[in-house]
Amino acid sequence: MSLKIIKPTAAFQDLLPPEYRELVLNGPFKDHKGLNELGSFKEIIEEHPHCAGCGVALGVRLVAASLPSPADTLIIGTPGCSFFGLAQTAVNYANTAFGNQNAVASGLKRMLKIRYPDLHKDVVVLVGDGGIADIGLDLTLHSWLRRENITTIMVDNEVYGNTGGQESGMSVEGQVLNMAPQGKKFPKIPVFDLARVSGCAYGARVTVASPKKIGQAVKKAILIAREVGPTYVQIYTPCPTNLKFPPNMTIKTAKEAEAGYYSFQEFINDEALEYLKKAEA
Amino acid sequence: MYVAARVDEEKCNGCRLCVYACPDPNVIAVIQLKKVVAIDQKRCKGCGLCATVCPKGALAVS
Amino acid sequence: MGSAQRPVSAEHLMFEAARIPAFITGSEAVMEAVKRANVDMAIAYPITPQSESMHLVGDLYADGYLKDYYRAENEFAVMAAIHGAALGGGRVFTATSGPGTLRAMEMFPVWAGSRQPVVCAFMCRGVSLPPSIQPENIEMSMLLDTGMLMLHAEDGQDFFDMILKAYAIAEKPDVHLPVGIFADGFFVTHTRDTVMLPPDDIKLEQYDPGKSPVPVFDMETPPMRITRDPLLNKSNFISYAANASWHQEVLAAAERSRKYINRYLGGLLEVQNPDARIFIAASGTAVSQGREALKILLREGCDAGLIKIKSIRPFPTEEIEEATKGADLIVVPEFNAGGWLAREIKAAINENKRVVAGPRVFGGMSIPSELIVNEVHQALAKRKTHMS
Repeated sequence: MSLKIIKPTAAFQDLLPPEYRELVLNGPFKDHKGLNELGSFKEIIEEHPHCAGCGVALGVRLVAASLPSPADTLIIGTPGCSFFGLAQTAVNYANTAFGNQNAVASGLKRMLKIRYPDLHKDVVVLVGDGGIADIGLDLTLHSWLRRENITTIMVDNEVYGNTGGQESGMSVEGQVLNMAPQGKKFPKIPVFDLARVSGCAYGARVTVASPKKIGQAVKKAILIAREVGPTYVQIYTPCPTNLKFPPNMTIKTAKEAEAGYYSFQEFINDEALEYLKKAEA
Repeated sequence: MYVAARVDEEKCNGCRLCVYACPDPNVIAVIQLKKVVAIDQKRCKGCGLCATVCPKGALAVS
Repeated sequence: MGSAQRPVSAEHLMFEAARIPAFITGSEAVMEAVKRANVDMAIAYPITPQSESMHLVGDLYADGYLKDYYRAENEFAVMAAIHGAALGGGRVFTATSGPGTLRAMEMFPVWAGSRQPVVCAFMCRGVSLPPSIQPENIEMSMLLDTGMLMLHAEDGQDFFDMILKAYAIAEKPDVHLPVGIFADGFFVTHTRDTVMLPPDDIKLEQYDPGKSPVPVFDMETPPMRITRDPLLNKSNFISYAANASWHQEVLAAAERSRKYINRYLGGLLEVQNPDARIFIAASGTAVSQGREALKILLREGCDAGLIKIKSIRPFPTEEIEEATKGADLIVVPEFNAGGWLAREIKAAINENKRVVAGPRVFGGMSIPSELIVNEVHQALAKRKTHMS
């Protein structure tokens, strides 16, 4: 994105809201500002109606602050909780019919490659567990199997939060939720393992208790997807509202999971490793 | 007026752990000169995550 | 090869360029249209009877006429990826049939609501249990209110012309809606017919996303933050206000397309023997059978005419009213069990008891011209007994 198109003309400066002016002057579009500088620049996400203490909100915020090129990033989302914040984000964001985000991303990425063959347009899917593991599993897996150059990021709160707290494919076995009155009867869907065998060049499993790991994973995933192949980041983003814990316990909950079934995991194929080395050089 | 987090600047040592714990954007700003954080109370939802992670007890929700 | 083609205006391609006859199938007609349409990307999925068309489009890609093409995993994925590709600001094409149409259904209102000038060919066939690939167009009735424009091709010539003209109509800034080009499966797709083709060294001009009424999605176009905003996340009031006005705009865009359909198609319908008292009104291949029935009726000395309806959406309400105002009887042969065309006509005209919703055939039945002639005779006989 040419920065000229966001710079307001002098006559309009005073009329534009202060949030917009801050974004132009102190945002991450001009000089690169990443996770390390968080707290000292204008973030690309604006206010949103996520619940107080929302794990997904934290996950989305950390991802947005970790984008390597926010000026050329397009985010594809789908209904759920994630899109509350994403609809307030200063990049092109497209909502989609529920679950079809990876198909939309496939078409978009290919068309942007046709129209801008010399630019890196980072197409990032940022979606919840329902959209990837359940209703969109088919389309998600196929975008990986086809080796589409897109990054898929799941903010996993292990529940359908937006619709009132129903069991999700990513809920743990035994968890009692709406539509699972006797507890979930089958295990958490191993989307991370599926990503590995379906052709993702890179994958990382992280939680909101480790923001720096999220930053590194997101950056690697987006860079690798540019040239090598599909990438996947799964972030545990617990939900105080539906899993019924106090809103100030979100990070503690994530930390406990990180010590157990949500431990840090990463896979990377040789080509992706080579590419990263060259990119860093 | 708002239920929001408040900073005790005496106790804050500018470690910024709270910045990475807050789910909402641009609530906690780092004041470089004073090496402390500041809370935008209009944006804060009062969830208390910052207060919970603060190692110095410099944050509280009220 | 695509790069060897010279871009020309739609008017030149469709009306001025000299044409030569080719004896080709409907599937080949689709390919010939896409070949001259300067399409950036096409996405395919197999389903009878549109697969052959999309094989040939794939060959076009291999020969350099399209910049990208792939086979997706199901029709929902195809239409979703087409949505994504159209968001990116290029010209796209796809096709489907019957159950594929239904599987992709969620995306058609999305295309229309997103104001995307997608052109999709629907080669109609049976949809329900028991599974059938027989030609019938019940799927058209299910798309009448998606916001998509709908043109119904009678034969290979129509199929070829309508696909190209659809791009010209759809991409007008005051329209910018998806267009479905419908043809009855097998009857059109798998039979050979003489189709007049303009030369293949010319093509439509490149699609210009700068002319879209909705900003293109490529992080290069102001305003900077463009979202297909889930307005349902805002207050109820915002959601209602934005959605209600947006939907009205989609309806208005369809109305604005009438003038372009008139310009490019020469009218939303065609009338043969406009002074007739008895009309056969039909769309698609039922028109061809209607033509044969008309010949028989005229030989019998019947004061009969034919109305060929080309545009289903927008529906030629005024034109049909005008064409039938002096008629006593309108017989509507259709290839579907529901009788959707008869319903549309009845809703458009006064004294709709003049409409006979038949003969309706489905499941693989054909409409011999005698069946249509009989329907006319029976209707006339009923009126005689009613009046005496």
